[in-house]
Amino acid sequence: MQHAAQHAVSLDRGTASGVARAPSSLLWAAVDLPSLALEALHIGVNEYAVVTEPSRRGEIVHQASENARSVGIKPGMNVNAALAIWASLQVCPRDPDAEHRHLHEFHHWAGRFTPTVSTEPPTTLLFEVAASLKLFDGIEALYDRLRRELDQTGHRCYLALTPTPGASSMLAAAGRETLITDRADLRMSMQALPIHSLGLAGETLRRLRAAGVSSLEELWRLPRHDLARRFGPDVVRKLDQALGMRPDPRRIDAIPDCFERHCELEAETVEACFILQAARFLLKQFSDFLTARSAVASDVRVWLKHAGKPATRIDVGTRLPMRDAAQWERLLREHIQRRELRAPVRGIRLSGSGLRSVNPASGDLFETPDAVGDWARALDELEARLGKKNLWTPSVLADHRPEHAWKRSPPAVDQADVSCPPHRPLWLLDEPRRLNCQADDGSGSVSFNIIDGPERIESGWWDDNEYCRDYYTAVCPQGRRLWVFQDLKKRSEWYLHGLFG
Amino acid sequence: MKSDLRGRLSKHHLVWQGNTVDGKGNGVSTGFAELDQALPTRGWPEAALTEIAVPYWGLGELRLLLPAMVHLNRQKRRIVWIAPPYLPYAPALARAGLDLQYVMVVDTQSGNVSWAMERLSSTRSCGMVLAWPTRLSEVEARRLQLAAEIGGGIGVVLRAEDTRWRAPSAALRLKIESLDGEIAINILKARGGSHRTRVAVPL
Repeated sequence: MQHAAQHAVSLDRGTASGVARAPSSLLWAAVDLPSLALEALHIGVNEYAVVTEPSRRGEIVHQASENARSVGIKPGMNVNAALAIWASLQVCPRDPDAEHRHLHEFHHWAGRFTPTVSTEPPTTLLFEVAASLKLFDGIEALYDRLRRELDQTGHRCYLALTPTPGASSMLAAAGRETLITDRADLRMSMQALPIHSLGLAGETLRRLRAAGVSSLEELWRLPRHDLARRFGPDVVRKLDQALGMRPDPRRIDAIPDCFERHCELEAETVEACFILQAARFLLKQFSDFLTARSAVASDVRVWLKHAGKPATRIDVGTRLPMRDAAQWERLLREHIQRRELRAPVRGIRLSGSGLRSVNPASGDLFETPDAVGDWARALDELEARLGKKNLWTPSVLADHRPEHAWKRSPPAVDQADVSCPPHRPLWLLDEPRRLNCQADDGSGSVSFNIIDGPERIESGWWDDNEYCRDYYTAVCPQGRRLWVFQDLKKRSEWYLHGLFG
Repeated sequence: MKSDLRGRLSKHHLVWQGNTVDGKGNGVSTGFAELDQALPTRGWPEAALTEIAVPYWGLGELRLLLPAMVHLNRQKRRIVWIAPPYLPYAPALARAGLDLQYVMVVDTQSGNVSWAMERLSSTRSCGMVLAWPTRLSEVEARRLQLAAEIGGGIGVVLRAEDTRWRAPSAALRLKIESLDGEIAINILKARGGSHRTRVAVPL
């Protein structure tokens, strides 16, 4: 709805001001996360900390926090050297998985602006936004919006928008926040970049430096022909790609079809309301994630993480796929309230799968309660509160023994076509109840009169439940119609097995 | 002249008569002509709550409801049993003509009976929701009546006669007795009906 409104606004503006850009050109946004290794480990800005990685020279500093850098600790430095500078330095090994997860979150975020997203590990994300300009009110508005939303993520990051992916990623990686729409301006803005921005092989870089070249400007001043001959074709190719003079294909990542996020609670808690509060935030994110993909999902799983104990898994599955965060929350609340938490909860992980795309035209199907959706939602809620096994549909089985002629099935399964014998009671007792009496047909009955029967049921020799019974319909003095049997194997004792209701 | 005047007035909704039911709910035939005749809705009132009091379970309350269940079931409307005192026996239900695919049983403790019934009654796919609560407050009964109005189905609460609770807000309140081979139905209250009646129904 919000998007439609924005769309209308941008159309107005489009006719008024016109679009200055050539329509065929692309516009690549690059986001670079220079402190990703630190942020992935949740290291605060004010800490003296380094993230290390193994190398041939032993453990070296990969990234240093701002405070650590201020005392002279630099990336590439040996850990021992860093510790010599600052003895109380916090040393953490790098966690590539966590970094990847964080970059992935940015991928999800960028997916809201365009389907053309490419993650360029370790720290860069590229996405092409030219096609989305109208929707987001033109380029300046889009740039502001991207910048604002990036600020809200809490990550240190740089954003560059240029017509080529190479230029965008180089500028962002160098920490230059830029917005360039014209290719002709590219060379100007990039000339001050150091040559290592090009991402050349170490050997080529070393030779260039030895030749006294340190910036792209100096590189461009050299004769093109000699450059290729002396330093290899890679240098020229990369320069051309950055300026858009040569194609620069990027691998576009498929939109991931599962969602996974986690959040830590501020304090360990057993209070359902605090757990739900955190879960609400994640569910909202999942719902946004689905909206961005015009998708709905049927499987939502929540793990409640405990200290020193395996996590509690809760399945918030729904019969119909949907993206209604409020309904998921309702189901989750029922689950949490029903369950005994085995330990205080310190964090929550949420994963969503079973994604299905939804045709925008039929989007309303999941917003307005139709009869089917209505029923499915009610069942979901009942299952969440009462437990899956307490909702069942009686179904018939082909067996002569009354106890074995039925079973509990999950609600709404197709029923087998089994012919059912006549004279069966509507109510069955869980277990036949032994009657302390002797029946007497007609005169002088003790407690019931037999009005129909007997029907002999003798079956079950193939398993251990073999029996031989004579069933009768009887009426007790209160007027109830009973289904009783005489067990011919157990000294002809009488049992009550059902009521005709 | 007199009847003409009455006809005109009622056509313009200027008079309300005690024995007419407001347009909201119609009846689903009980399958027993005598009983249909005695009820102002000419059947079980739809979009409303019905209370049935029974001295002992199994006196005939299910056979009394069964024809209406089968009728609703044929229209693919669901029949839900909440906290029944015994097992609803599948072969007998199938034999009676119910499509079991549209039958569901909810096993639950007393505290959740009213909640489950309210939730299910308010969905539009339920034709009849039967519940056997061990207790029911007046507020809960009122909520069940409202839920039935939303969903449009027939809500039935069954009560053992010796329990304390009542559902005074129910649109229809019945009491069943055994009467040699037949059952006698005392209509304690019927919305739109004027006086108490007693009907004998052969089962």
